Amino acid sequence: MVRKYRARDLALGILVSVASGLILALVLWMLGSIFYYGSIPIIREGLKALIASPNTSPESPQYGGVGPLIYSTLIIVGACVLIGLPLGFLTGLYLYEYPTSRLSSIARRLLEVLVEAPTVCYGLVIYLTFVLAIKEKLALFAALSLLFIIVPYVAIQTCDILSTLPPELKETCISLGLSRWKTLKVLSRAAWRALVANMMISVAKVLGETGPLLIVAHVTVDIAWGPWVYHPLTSIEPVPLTVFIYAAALSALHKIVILGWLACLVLTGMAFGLFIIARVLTRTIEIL
Amino acid sequence: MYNTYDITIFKGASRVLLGVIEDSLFTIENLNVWYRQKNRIVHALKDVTVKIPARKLTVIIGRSGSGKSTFLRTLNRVVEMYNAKISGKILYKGQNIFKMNPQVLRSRVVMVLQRPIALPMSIYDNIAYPLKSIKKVKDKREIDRKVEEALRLANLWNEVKDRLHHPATQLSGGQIQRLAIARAIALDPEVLLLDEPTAHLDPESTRYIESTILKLREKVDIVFVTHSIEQARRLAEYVIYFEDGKVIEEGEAEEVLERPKTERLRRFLSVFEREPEEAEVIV
Ligand SMILES: Nc1ncnc2c1ncn2[C@@H]1O[C@H](COP(=O)(O)OP(=O)(O)OP(=O)(O)O)[C@@H](O)[C@H]1O
Ligand SMILES: [Mg+2]
Repeated sequence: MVRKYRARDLALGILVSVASGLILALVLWMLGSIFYYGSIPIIREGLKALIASPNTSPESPQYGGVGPLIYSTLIIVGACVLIGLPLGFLTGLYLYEYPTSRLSSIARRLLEVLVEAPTVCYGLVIYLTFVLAIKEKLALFAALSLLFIIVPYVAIQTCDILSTLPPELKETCISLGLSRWKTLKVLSRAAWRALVANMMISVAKVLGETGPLLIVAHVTVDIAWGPWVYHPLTSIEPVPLTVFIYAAALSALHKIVILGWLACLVLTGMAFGLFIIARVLTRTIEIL
Repeated sequence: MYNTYDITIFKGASRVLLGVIEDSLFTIENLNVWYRQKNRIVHALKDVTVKIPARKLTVIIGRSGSGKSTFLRTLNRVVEMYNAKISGKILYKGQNIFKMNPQVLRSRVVMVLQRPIALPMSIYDNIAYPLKSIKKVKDKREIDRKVEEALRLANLWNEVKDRLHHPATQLSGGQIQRLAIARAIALDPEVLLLDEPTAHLDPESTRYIESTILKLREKVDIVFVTHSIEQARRLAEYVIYFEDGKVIEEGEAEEVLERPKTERLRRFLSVFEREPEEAEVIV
């Protein structure tokens, strides 16, 4: 009997170690490739690779860089975050404060659906309503389509984070006579680390989001600095890193494919930075 | 014009009228409270009809789960945040509390919770922030004075005077309880509702808080819940006994505690008499 169990334990142990080893190998291989190929242009041409625009001429051996793409990503994601974070946060406060109201329970269901739905659908919606109407792929629309991703996520998470606070904290505020608004302020303050960490993760999410952008944004590798940088949101030139990666993968030029790797590396770095901030914030958990 | 009979009636009526205005702090009639949860409803208060007299230290006693906290929560309408259904009538100094602005009511009838919580800010701000945002006190020196006074009354000043600007969440359970009491005192409420204010305190602090309660009752009406019959004997002037969401007995402290009329209260009190030493621990 005992031996039989021991054999089973051993088998299970081996299975688990093999599985986790495989996963680890997969992740390392993925990150390793991004780092290996992505760093080629930087090694060859230095930090210019982060500033210059891609060199698409087949004759020249120069790689160029992903400067305008980083700029485009920051603009589009920045615009989305600037509107999406406050909007999502306030919606979350509403969901938390009026959990039993009809509007709030309907809103909550809808937002849950939005969080789960394939993001490429939002791209299509924006495309059909805005892009076709204006006949231009303005960067503004790309930012708009990302709002559909950040707002529901932040709203639901905000509501859930506040709900994990002890109800006595809210009761304390209320029974002192603090207003609804001030009570929410105190509660947000109690949970600020988790709230901000969650926002960082939401930014990382839209940073890497590709689905809707492939439909709404300009898909090209032929991009250069130009006067569009002064009014990026209302021009069609901005190409975010994610879209560039897609376009570069289709390119016949090997050096453009390599720039696609560099774009991957930059994106991964940005997301990594955001996750580190989130991690540091939540590592010290304050218990009330 | 009036005959003696009329005058007698008039006198009687005015006394009754004055009595309503003067002697009753809260008048509660047919109060029912249900907590609505996802898949069940808890009927926490059942047809409670009771008066809380003014200027008398009122103590609420009863077993765990008998609805004492719910009753206090209902007096300043904090219970509403728990998705509760309420029926019945509560008059506060003659005014229907369900027609008052809840925020105004709560700033006049302040409650200290059973499980005390520190606001996520410094010790100083725990008292100063409500003062600033509810009482609109602006003057820094006035706030400093109030913070110190309240902390002294709660027997916490000596322990925290050197670290007023440290986070209050680092205080011990008993310290947070005293901080919560100080926070409530600083607001100069008309009524203080204290839900087991000494539950987490050592005997020395308990005595201190009790003396503070006795000091405060000159200015403030106090209603408090306790698990300790000894404490009720020391402080109470008026006692209300809850059992299973109902008021079983109410009246002057000596009457209720020494000569209980109902069998249920007698049984409740007898638990404490058998082992007087451990009485405070049992319930
Ligand atoms: N927030 C809540 N949601 C649902 N039910 C509750 C809630 N608070 C209390 N109850 C229920 O209401 C009843 C009365 O509870 P209450 O807290 O008023 O009792 P209590 O007399 O204060 O008890 P204790 O002495 O243990 O503090 C209990 O059955 C309890 O389970
Ligand atoms: Mg209680």
